[in-house]
Amino acid sequence: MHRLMRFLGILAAIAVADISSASEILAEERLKAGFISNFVQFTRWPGNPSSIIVCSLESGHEADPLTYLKDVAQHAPALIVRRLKTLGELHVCQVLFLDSANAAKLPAVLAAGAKHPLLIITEFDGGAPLGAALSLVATGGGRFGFDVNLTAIRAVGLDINSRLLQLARRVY
Amino acid sequence: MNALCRERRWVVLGCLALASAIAGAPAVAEDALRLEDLLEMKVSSAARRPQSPAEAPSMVSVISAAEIRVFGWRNVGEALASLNGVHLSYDRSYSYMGVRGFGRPGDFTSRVLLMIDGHPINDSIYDQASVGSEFPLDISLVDRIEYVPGAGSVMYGGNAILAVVNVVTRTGAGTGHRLHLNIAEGGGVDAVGTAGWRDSSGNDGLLSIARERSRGRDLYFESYQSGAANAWSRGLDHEANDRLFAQFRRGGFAAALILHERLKGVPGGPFGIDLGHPGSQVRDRRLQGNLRFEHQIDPMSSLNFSAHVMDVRYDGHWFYSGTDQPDGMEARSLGGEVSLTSRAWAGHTWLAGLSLRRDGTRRQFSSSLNSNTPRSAVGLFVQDDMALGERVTLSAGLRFDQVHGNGSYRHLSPRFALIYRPALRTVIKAIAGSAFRPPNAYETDYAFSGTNIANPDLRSERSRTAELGFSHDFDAASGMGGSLYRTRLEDLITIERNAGSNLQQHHNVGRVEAKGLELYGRGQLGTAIWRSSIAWQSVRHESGADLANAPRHLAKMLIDQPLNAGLRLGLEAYYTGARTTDSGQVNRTGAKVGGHSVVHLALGGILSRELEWQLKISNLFDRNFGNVVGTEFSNNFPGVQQSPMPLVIQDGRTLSARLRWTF
Repeated sequence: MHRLMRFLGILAAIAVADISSASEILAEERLKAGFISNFVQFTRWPGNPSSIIVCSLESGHEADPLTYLKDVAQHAPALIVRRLKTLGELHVCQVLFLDSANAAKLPAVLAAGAKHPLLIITEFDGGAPLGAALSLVATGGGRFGFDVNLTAIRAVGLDINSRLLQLARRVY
Repeated sequence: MNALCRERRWVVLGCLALASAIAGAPAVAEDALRLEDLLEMKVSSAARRPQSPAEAPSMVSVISAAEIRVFGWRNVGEALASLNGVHLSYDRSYSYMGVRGFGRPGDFTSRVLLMIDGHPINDSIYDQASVGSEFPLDISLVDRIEYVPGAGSVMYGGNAILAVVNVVTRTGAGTGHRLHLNIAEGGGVDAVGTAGWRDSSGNDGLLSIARERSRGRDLYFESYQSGAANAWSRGLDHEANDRLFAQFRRGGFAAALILHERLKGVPGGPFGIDLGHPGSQVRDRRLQGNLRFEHQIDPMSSLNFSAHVMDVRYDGHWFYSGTDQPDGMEARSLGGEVSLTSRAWAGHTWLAGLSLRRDGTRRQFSSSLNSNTPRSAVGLFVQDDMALGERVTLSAGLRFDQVHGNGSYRHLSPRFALIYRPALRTVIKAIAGSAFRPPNAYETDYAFSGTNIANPDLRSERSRTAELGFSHDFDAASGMGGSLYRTRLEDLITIERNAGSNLQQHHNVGRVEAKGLELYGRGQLGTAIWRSSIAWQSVRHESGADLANAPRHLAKMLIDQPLNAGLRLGLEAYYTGARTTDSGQVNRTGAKVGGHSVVHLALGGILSRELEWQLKISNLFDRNFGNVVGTEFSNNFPGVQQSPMPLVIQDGRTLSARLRWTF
């Protein structure tokens, strides 16, 4: 018993001494960035702007998928990331990525972006049925999928490629 | 396609192969990523090791937090009951999980390995897998539940005979601050407060406190109408749960603390106790600490370490002719595991590990018993997933276990799985494996003057399972699949009455064969998502007798329908087919019990930005049905004269309401 405890104790000490940085977060955030990049590629804004401003609300989390957009983005249009302090700045954005920490702000975002060609992507399940354009959804086994609210997308004057609809878990 | 996913992977606990953790280099994706590829990718996390269900050497099912919310499931057992081939029985003290028809009444689900974030929670006296309201965590903390049917001893050693269930908890960042309030008919009030956060350096914390109280219902037991016994059991179905969960994660490190205390009244008079005595009750307590660490040795290899310490206690009070007969146990365990995974050889994913467990205290006590039989267990395991061409993978694993306590048990548990992907969205698996379960302390040591005697000579149960499974996805939202299986279990351990002495004792009672076919489908109809399953199953003893509580059919339909104005409807319909009662002798088929259906309906919506509500009607059509229970409820119990009660009635229509405040 004592030998077992000593063995486990040594392992625990090694473990604690060697805590790595949050490297496991990278995978998930990059994956989400990949989805966001693809969503932009498959969306058409009025006037076909050459650059797209992708916004998020400040949440205090370093684990922000938008940080990795430049790693995964395709060539055009150019993606510009902005972090908003208030919803009043929303009018400058073409895309808003609403992270889980700001989930409660969805109704306010919907109200603020109602007449604006804004693609609202939520990081959390359940955003699309509430009026967000797209929701990332954890589909189990560490995978992600997404839901699409086609009505909401068309209501703000956007259009999306049917490829998105084919691959979506659910379309509203 | 793996560019994003080149980091480490983990073992999906459930997936025996889980352990097939795959190492890889952190990388920057230079190329644009196709959406189709993203959908196939998995996220790695240090605390868990995911493996795609398609790659696992088992037919894995996963229940997501989203489903748990939509259907308003109150505990892990209710969620598991939605899965193909699973049926739940509740004797109003504890819940028992039946897998593929195998649901021995009163077995405390000892043949299922239950884990939280990969750490076992089965205790070392009863091997109990506490799946119902006795599960140590509040359901709101569950991120997903992984269910892996079949022989799991190749990765996990004893207990994993029928299935492995891994409950994965939420992260602090994914939870935020929440308050839940749930009220239900029968005087049920639950409150849960949870605080979750992640700071800029990646420290992720979660703290949750939950309190649950229920007065319960007065229950009418028709079986007792004969003789002088009361037919009503009044005020005895009460339940109280207090839970605390604290968790910290950073990088590859995770630590968790679990505290749970449950007090439950005992209606129905099991073991011949006074039917209406309010003093009869069971109290279960758990204190558990879990530690996990994953260390990336090089881009292709990682070392995983996990450890747990567990203190589980049970105190029962049973009143006979107005006199308390206390009965209890203490189980303290310390366990750990080290495993190494490597992809250093092209086409191979290796996993090798060492598992140690010391059950330093296994004490059972009553007025006529005071036994303590500490136990040690060592397991060595190795598995290789070999790519045989682009479409075929062979997973081969072997584990050696040695368990030494009041008996010595040695077992080799091999498993082979051939996984064939004829097309991108189609998987066919042929799986063969064996598993074992050494007798637990309750089975070898329990004795009670005049009723039960110990049996230190019990042998382990051993099983062999062969399975052919397939799954095909039509698109992201729809698919179908199925499984054909056969499990042969040797030396089944069950409690029986000894001829002559009339005393109860656990015996090895020979071979049991479980076989069946499971089919499922899922899809989207309009905006509704549905999933449906049907299972044909048979569990027979070598004498030809049907085992008790083995429904011949299980059929399930779940529909998740979003409505206008943010409303969301969850509908569940379950059919449980004919099964038999427990005759008390495994070679004698019990009385047949007809099938029954039950429907649950949940409707949820949003009151304001932060406030969500849900109303649920369980057993919508108020169906009157019972669950098959053990012989402790029947007149088989020596020295007690009462009418047999092979079924314990379940709740009729019950309305509950839930509020969830996120801030």
